[in-house]
Amino acid sequence: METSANLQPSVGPGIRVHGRYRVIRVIGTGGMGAVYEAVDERLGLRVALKESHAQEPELKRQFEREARLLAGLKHPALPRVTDYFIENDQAFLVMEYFEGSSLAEVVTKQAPLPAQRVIAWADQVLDVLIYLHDHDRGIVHRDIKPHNLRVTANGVISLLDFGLAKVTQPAPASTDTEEQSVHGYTRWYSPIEQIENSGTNERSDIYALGATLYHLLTGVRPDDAEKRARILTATGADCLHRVDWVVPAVGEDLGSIIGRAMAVRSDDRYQTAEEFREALRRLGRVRSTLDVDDAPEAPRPKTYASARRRFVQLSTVVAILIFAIVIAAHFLPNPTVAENPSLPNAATKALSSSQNAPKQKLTTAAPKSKSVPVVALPQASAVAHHDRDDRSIAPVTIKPKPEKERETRALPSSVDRRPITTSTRTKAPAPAVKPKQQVAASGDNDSPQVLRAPDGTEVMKFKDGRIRVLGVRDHGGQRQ
Amino acid sequence: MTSRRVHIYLASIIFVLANGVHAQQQRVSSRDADREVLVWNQRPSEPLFVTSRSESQTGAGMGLWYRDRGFSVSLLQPLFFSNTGGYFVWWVALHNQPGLRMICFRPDTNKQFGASDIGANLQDLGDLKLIKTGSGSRFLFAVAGDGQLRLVSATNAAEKHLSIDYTAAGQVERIRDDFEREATPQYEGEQVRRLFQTWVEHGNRYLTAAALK
Repeated sequence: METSANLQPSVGPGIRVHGRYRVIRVIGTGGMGAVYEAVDERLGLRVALKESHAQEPELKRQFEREARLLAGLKHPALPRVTDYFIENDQAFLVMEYFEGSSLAEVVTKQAPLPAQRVIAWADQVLDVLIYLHDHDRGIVHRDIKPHNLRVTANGVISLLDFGLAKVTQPAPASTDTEEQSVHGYTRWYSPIEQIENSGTNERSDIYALGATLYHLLTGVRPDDAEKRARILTATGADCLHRVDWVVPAVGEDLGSIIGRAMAVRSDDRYQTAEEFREALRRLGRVRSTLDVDDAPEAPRPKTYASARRRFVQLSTVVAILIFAIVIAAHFLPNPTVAENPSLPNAATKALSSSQNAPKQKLTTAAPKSKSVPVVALPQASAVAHHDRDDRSIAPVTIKPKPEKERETRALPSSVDRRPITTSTRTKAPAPAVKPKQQVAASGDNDSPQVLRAPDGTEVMKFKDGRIRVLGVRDHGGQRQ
Repeated sequence: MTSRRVHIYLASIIFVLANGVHAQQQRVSSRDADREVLVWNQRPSEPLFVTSRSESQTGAGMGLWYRDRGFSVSLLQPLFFSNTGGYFVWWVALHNQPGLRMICFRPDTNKQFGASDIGANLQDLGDLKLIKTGSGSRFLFAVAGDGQLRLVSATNAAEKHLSIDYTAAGQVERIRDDFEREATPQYEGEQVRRLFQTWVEHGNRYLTAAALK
């Protein structure tokens, strides 16, 4: 039996690779390889160890290209390559280790990010792009995205992963040409010419950076270029929402700059990284004098007046809510929550299909405590209460209600008021769309393929790719 | 105005106030959840998944885990296959080591693949792939709508089952087990951000939600 342990001794923390690099932890993994944090025990340096699991010759060559390409670059925002080797048929690239977090992590936790901070990062990335796009080098990165940008606590940016990079101008010591680059892209950040593989250049990086800034400023990934191009061709309109429409605080000027960088046609974008940087710098100067409230995140001092204003606002909202509830209680005959659209489908079904509780009522409370009648809105009920090391339970209980109490309930205005419960389901209006589960059960959609495992587990596979697990049949044919 | 209606009004006011408290608690829990992942819970009278800090140390960022003897494995990861290498790749967190370890299932015999690291073997059943671990757990994979081999069923040594349904896009639609427990993920892009769970205890059905790392 041959295992990864035999063939890939370097994989795994604590293991020494190439006689000098001790792996500390896995930074990231994927189908193509992994990146580890390691210590160069000979020099006492922390390094990033990038391993390729590629078996295909083309992908192996690509990895080697990346190593050679990076080795020839010298810029503070680019990792220095210190070693490249093959051990046990696995290729490794040893690079300078950059502290910090990827912008993908940052955007996940903090989005939308303040415009001034994003502009400062963009300025640094554009400095790298100017260096890469320089005529002597002619390198197009082609994979600029939040995942490949790291930022330190001091706001210093570094650009990683040259796996898709392309050299348009062969350097004197290099034989790389445009034809040797590998086709690949990341949907939300790549321009149409890259997705269609119809020839990329430095303006492709400008698009990708624009899309990255879009994501950072709004917290949502932009529509992919292919979809935009398709809609643009069909309707003449761009479906991409401007950044400043999504987050008005971004401002119209910055919205226009991002919009131009992300133009579908490369001729409509900034033609060079310098041009893009200059536009942002001009804006940065203007904003720094006009919009001082944007970047600073320090809390404003609380004054009595502001506290009082806030109290009045809150009181007004509460009063309006209570008034709405009172009105609702008057006019609604029998509202329930069985198909509250704010719950995910399956959760809704689960709530409405309890076998033990023919009619249910949602209440919020700890399981053992007295219930308070409310509706299980995700916003309100999503409570993970970490009072124990291995538990995250802050439940909303659904208790069976005695038959006589089941007539009318008042619900807040934010809840769907359609009178649908288990017992009154027949009176409810039929749903406009047939639930997927019913389609699956009836099989009238696309006659799914039923796969059966040796232990009796049955898996229904639909033509559109959906998968339903029917459960396990015992030897008597009963489903468990 | 009937007394019942008065009760309803009072209950509604309590709801509004309770909402505010919950919103505060939710913010706290989201911050805590950054450090934690969820693990399949074997106790039938509790939610299907509960938080665990031990698996979160792996840094994998894949939110739902199954804890086996000596290792844990993410339930959301696809099973990779290297066409040229001819082996399957699975990532596990060994309990005696930090970090993740790549496990390769390499061909032993026709349709059988082995990985001695975790004492597991993989059976190629055509459209289905079945991994059996040394402890008696079984993991069944099928090709989902996104073309990836996705976990559709997990069975522990005590023959307790977990089944996972997928949407056409290859995202988890619902997870169920033998005890009428269900979990429904809520995605943001391709990441599972929240998990809504229902379970039954003493005839009552409970609902909870948790934010995932």
